[in-house]
Amino acid sequence: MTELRTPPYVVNIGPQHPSTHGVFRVKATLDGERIIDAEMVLGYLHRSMEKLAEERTFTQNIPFTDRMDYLAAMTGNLGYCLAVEKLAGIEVPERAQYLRVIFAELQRIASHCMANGTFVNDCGAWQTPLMYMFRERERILDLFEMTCGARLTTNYMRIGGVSFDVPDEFYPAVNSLMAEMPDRIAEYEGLTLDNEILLARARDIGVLRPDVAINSSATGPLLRGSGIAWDVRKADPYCVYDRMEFDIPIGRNGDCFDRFIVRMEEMRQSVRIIKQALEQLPAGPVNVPLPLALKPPPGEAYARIESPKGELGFYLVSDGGPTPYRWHVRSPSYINLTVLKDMVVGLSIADAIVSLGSIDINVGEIDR
Amino acid sequence: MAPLLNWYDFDPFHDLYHWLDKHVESWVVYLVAAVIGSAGILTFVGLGALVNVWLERRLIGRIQVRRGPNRVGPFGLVQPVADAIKLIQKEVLQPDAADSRLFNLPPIIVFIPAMLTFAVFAWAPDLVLANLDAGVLYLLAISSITALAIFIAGWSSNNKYALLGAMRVIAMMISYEVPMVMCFLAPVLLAGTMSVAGLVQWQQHHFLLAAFVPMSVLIYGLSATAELNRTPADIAEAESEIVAGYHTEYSGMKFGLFYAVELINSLAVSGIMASLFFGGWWLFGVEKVIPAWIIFILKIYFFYFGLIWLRGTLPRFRIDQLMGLAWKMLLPLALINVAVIATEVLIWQEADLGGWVLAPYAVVNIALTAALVVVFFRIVTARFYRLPTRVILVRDIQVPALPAPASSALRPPTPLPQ
Amino acid sequence: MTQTISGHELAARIRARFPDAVLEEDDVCAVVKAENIVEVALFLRDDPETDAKYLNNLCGVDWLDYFEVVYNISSMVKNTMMTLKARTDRDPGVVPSVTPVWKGADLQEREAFDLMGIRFEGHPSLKRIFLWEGFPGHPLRKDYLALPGGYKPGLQRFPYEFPEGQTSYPYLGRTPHADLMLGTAHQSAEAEPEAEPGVPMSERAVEPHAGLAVPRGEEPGQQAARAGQVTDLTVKDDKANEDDVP
Repeated sequence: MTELRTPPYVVNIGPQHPSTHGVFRVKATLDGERIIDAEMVLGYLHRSMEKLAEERTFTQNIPFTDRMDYLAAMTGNLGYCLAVEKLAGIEVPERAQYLRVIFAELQRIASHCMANGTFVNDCGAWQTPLMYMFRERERILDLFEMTCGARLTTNYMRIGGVSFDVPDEFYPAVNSLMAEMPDRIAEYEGLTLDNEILLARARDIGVLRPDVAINSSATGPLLRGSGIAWDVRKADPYCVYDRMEFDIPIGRNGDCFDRFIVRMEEMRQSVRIIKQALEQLPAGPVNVPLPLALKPPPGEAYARIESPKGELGFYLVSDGGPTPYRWHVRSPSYINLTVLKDMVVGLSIADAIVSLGSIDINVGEIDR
Repeated sequence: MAPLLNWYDFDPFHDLYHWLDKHVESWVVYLVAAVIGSAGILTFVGLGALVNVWLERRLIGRIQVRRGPNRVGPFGLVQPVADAIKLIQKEVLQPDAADSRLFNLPPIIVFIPAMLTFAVFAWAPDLVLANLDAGVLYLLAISSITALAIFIAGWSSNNKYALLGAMRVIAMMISYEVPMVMCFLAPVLLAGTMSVAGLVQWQQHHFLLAAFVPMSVLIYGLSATAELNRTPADIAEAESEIVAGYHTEYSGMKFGLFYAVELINSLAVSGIMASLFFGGWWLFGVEKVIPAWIIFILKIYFFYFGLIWLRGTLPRFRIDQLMGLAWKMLLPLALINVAVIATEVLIWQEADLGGWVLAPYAVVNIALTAALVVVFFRIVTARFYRLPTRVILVRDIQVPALPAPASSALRPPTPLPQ
Repeated sequence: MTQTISGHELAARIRARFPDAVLEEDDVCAVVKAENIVEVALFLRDDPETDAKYLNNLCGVDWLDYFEVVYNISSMVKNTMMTLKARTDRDPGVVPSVTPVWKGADLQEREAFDLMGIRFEGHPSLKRIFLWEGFPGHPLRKDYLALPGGYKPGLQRFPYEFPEGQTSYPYLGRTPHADLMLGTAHQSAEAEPEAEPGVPMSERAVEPHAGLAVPRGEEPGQQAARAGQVTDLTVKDDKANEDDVP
């Protein structure tokens, strides 16, 4: 019996996605239903931030970090400020460190709400879990607006601390949110975790072996889903994370479902951290006075934090002037994409979309 | 031609027809009755489509913890009108290379079976537009036309991806016709009649058929969602969107017709479910108080609510999972169902037992259905539960000392098949 | 807490294995010659004491005379971090690719190639990733439309569209590479050779181009005060600055 030979054809996934990942294009070569080659085309959101940052002072570059990973602005700010403080040798007051931890963890919850919601949306549930998670995300964004005036591009951290202290109405709001949050996370898990259709869509799809993950510089839930318990907050504690008690969730199999449940559990651990930080929050200044144009001594620094997407690092080179000589962002979404091709070849388009959703990319961070 | 009178038992037009019959030819009365009945059904279908648009959006909103449309009119009630106006005033684009005559046909073709389904429903004890003796067969036959219309839509768009989407949808719809046909055999065997009105009457004298053939209810529920292209089986509107679905090239009211037909089909499917399995216009004597057709319409909307509920809650299947479900799970279940019911009917008739035997039959069938569903379910989903669905919590960092992968070099592009 | 392995220690370990690979060492990093980078990287990855299996960051830095590719690597099992650098000439800037050692270098090397122009030999598919094929130049280089002193003329047009009467970019550095790239050799014909080779950037005496007497590290406010100065960079014809395409 002669086999029906069909020529392979190229299908564009993107740049306009039905699912909300940003402007990102994958040229998939299909043979029937299976993908045999996947080539990424990036750069639709390239704004040359690294070049622009060389012309601006260190403080003027903080808003750039908001707009890179626009769904996790606080952690972007935090990573950059830590790098500059490492470069310039600035010490941050304790209250500022606690506030940084609180807002970074709030941002982690918000980002994971979005990531998990859109993941289930990619699997086909018409935004129902997404809307549930957006309820809590809205409350977190209200907290941000209360403190620094902006919901998304917060521009909250400064070199040497944070920009504003929290207002009085912040405490009851965050306390009530943290009191309710564990029930809500249990609600999300009840909606999704035991759903066989979700299991059918996400189990054993996009499996990433641990040694391949390490070798491909994967970070964040991608790495933890493959069973490697690595978290920058535990390995290289910054701010006051060494005083917080929390656990690292890891998966067993390295597939999309494991990354999904890792993110769910990370939300719970973030609630733990926030509660402890609120208890231990000391009084004091939230900032240190700095010269208008900060001129760190010549040298270089690489500082990293655990952003919701993975390890966010900043490599700064200073030459003694007010502007950085080299400003480079180690963006987790970009480097996590290294594994995409291996993950996706051999799957069908539906599975490729689910895998891409589980990596949790943010194109602002990829393209910068 | 008096026997024709039995074909259009429209009450309270009964007197009108009998009066007309004395003065005019029989076939004229038949035509008049057909026109009046069709007008009634068209009214219901038209209003039903409008109500469904509003109901669907509002209910899905409530399921998703948000309000549905609430701007246009009180509680958003004027929203369907706004949607219709929007679709009507859109520019209707047609690709140059599309086959023009074939391109314009599908919106019309797909509308016809949706309308025709309502003809055999029994709205009240004597209110049937076409009391066909082979009503169930008629329903199955016309529901296959939808698949044809979808394929014409995909083919005539002259769009590679629309064709791909259309072919997938056809494969799915044809696959789900088979269990659907099988599952209709069971109530027909039990009741001894294929006419829809006859089945409702049988249920009036005995009990709801759902109690006797619960397996058919379940199979029909799932097959119907697949036939309707609704979640969890809506690959036509979702994955194919990335490739492009069968109705991409349709804009304006042509697309509006596809959308409306999906809603009307949902009503039709709910109607079939209500008539065949849940008693139609009969509800334990309540139809003496409330008009029977109101009860029937309420039942239709009850099942439509179930369809919306499914849509709001469940993620969607992949195409190969859907086909596996149809052929490997539903078809064997349907065959077992038919075999069991046939045996029971045989015993009933051969041993000449009375009507009392239906009660133990119901008990046996429900128990058997539950057992079979559980068993099949366990078999099919066993592989998802070999790993627990919870994470491991680790107190401190713990990285295993793994050697770097052997082939660290990246995989070169796969050579394309010649 | 992650231990940072100092550049001196790292250089010692590398020197023990490859005696003449290390060019320079610092408190922070060890600089290696470009042609040795792959074997050094492989050694660092597989050596059980160093065990640098994880590549945190790979980026290029443009030091005007030479390129440096910075590798921030770490060991997860031992929880240590170290910095390795590979130095290469600016023209051409070729570095062997470390993708056989760490797969994660793949996309980062593409980015360094795209934005800086450093070619990585042995990379499976070295193509431009953020900018389109055919984009003229490599924007993150120091001589691409940026000037010493922090004054930036701004991009009036897309890189290959010039306003009326203009034939090339207004001002660029005096490196031969830039001249070759943009055909401004005649402008730099009388440029004097580099006064202080090998001196780090921060300690160079900056000699700005004529018309741009802007010292480095000036206080803010001074730039605004010079706003009225006419330089090479003001576009003579105002109409050419309109944004709408005819």
